Amino acid sequence: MGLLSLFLHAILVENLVLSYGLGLDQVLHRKQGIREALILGSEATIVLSVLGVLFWLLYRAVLVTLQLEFLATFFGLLLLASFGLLWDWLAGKFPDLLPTGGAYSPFYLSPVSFGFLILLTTKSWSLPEVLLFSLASGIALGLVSVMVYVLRTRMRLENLPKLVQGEPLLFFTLGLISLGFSLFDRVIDIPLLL
Amino acid sequence: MKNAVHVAIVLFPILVSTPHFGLALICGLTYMLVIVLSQSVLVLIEGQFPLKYRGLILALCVGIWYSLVSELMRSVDPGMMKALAFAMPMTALAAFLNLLREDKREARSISERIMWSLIQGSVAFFVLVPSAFLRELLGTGRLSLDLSEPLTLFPGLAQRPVLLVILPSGLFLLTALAFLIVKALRHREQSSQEEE
Repeated sequence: MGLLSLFLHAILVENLVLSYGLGLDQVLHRKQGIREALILGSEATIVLSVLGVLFWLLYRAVLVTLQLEFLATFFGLLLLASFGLLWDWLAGKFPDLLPTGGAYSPFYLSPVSFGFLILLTTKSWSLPEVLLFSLASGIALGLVSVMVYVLRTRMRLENLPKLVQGEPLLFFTLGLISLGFSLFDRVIDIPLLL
Repeated sequence: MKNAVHVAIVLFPILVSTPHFGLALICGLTYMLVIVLSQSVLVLIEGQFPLKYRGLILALCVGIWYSLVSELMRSVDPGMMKALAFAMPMTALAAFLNLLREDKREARSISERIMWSLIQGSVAFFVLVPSAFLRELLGTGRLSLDLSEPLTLFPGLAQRPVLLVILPSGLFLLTALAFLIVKALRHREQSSQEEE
């Protein structure tokens, strides 16, 4: 698969939220506005890229070499928990630069980060491919977050029956969007670049 | 309604990756075991470490325990474990996170905490298994306790499977339907109370 195909695949077909159900808690956060949705996307891009590269190095260089792949979950959890502690420590040292337990905290020990790491263990990708997939996954999360915000705003403006308001209609629409995105599978499998 | 949404969100990644009855059964049981064992670890280390380090210790325990169990299961049935490559670790994490969330709330007695973790495990089990049962039956007309030899219940459906139900988008639609039913039941309950 070419790099551009991989990038589009990660955003549309293998979208973390719509294909794996990861990050629903962040995306469906009630107080989100368009700014928060964009911040969420950029945070996810940074955190997933760092974690993805670190985990790839750990998994490929250590676990696969020593034939200890079954410890991937253990090291994944450990990496996330240590990342959280490191972040808190850094935030304590540089309080003006980094937020403590705020914006980044949902990511270091959440199903999104962990599921993403586990997903990487099922693929045999090179480092650039992992980096690209991480970047695209973060963008995908931001994209869905913006879509949820737009859907919510639109639903507030429409005169909908009380029963379907809120989560029922939101999940139904997300299901249709997920179905639509999955249809891109065959289209972007055509080798586009590299 | 809030509780139903919370349960659905926490279990969604596991629900997506377990469209078969047999897989959901294993994941449900694993969830129960992980959450009860992790709660026991939390009870053991309580008061000995600051809260922020408890997550790390629990991660170590859950990770070691999970790795050993998954390796044991892989040696018994490699095909099943390959199918569960994504769902099983997510089960461990969901139970782990649920506990950490609980750990920050008000102090409870040991027996209450163990009981609470058992209840949480049972809820997860009774969400995962029936949903996989319905999805597999409505989607493929089959029921697979063993992935290699599924039991065909509706031959017509088995020949022309409704893949939408099995796909993640189908799960979103089914969840929307479940929320709608819960909301309708609540609405009916409220209106009957108002009439009284």
